[in-house]
Amino acid sequence: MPRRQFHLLLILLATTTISLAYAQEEASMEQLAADAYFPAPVSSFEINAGFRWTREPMTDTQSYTRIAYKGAMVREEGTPFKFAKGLDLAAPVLPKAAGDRNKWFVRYEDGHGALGGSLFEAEGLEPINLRGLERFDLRGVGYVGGDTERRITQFAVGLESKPLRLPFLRDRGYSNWLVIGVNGQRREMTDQQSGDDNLGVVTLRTFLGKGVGWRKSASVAQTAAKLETLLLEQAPTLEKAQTLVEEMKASGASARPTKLQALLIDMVSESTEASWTGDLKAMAQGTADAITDQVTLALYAEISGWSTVLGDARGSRTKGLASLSADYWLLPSRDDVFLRLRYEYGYERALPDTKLNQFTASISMRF
Amino acid sequence: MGNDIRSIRRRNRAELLKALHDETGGWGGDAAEARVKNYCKDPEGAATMEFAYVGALTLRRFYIDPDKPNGVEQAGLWKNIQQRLSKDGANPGGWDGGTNVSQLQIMAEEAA
Repeated sequence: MPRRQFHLLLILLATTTISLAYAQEEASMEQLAADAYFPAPVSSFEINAGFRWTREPMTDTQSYTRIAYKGAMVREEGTPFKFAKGLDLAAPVLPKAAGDRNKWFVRYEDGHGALGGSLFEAEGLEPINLRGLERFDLRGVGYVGGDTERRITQFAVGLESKPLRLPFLRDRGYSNWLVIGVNGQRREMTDQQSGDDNLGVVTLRTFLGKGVGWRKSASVAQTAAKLETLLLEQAPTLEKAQTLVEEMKASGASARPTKLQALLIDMVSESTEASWTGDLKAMAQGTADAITDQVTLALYAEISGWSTVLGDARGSRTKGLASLSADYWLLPSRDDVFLRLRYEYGYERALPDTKLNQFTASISMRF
Repeated sequence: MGNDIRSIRRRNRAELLKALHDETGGWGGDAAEARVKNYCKDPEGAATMEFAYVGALTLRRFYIDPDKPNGVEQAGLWKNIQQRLSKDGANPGGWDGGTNVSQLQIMAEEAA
């Protein structure tokens, strides 16, 4: 399919999804809150479509798309969370999808006209214990990145620190972390005779963010009453609940439980036969209180950079990408559709020769 | 400190919330911060409603960016939780920012 038609198809899909989301707003807030819980959105598949305004290397406006798979199920077979179509308390766990993607995030971008091609990037992390260095709690990292158009591929392995706190933000309610690492990196110029090299790289990634405008997306009391009714239908007594939990364990469902299955397991460990109904009411109340919390705006900044300390950096030895983002949840009771504004400046690790200076506006949908 | 299943699971939940704080510096957002901190101070004495409330918080509330936790951040969180629970279980995968604390706790407790 030609690229322009593909983009138009995605924009049409985005418009349709948002229209459906608005249509569902007519349903009661409590029903929506309960529906959002059974099942919860999974985010294993994501479409992000929007416009990009670039300042460098050329002034241009263009549409772009980004498709990302996250989690274990790259074959679109769903996950135990996504699979939950209602009150499936004893539903078995799904068979593990082929292809071990558990520790990987993979993305593909198109419409990178200013960058001249498509980009591929993946990274992973494994716990690692080095004798004598246990107290530093180091983590092993792997990285693969490249530009399919310019035929540059980079592989790296190394060590990272555990997340450190930004000292001036301690106990101020901000999410924040700083991670420092060292990598051995191999650069392959697959279409050229020269340019291949082995590099020593120091990396840094830092994040600062906060959600603001917390509000209730539905009535806590009515949502709790709905949860309570739904649970009592399935597990009117502790004995019945214990039977369901045993079935879950026998089927393997408890290895990756749905939200409802998790709630039932919690209730069985928490309650007694005599207090079952009262505990169930309290559990439903606490759960409803949490799931009706809805943030309006998320503001966050992220910097990821690297410094080439060994080898030919082909330009500046220190580079990085800084981004400022604002996500706005425009619908009163849905958290799977949001508007994103983002400014990016610097270099992506997969594209170290191309400077970004751009603003993007997009609508994101999660399935 | 009790050794019954209720006490152990409540303490495990507190450890998971502390692991999330270790990794992100967050406490689940302004709407949840005081309740999460209070729960962590006394998990065994907390009301049942509070046990349920902190369990229903999604990871996204700690990571802020809807695209997080990415693969690296997930692996870091999993390692932290396993260390805190004195376990060495394999990450079963299939979880992300939409997963809640209770689900992740059960996965961590069941992981072999």
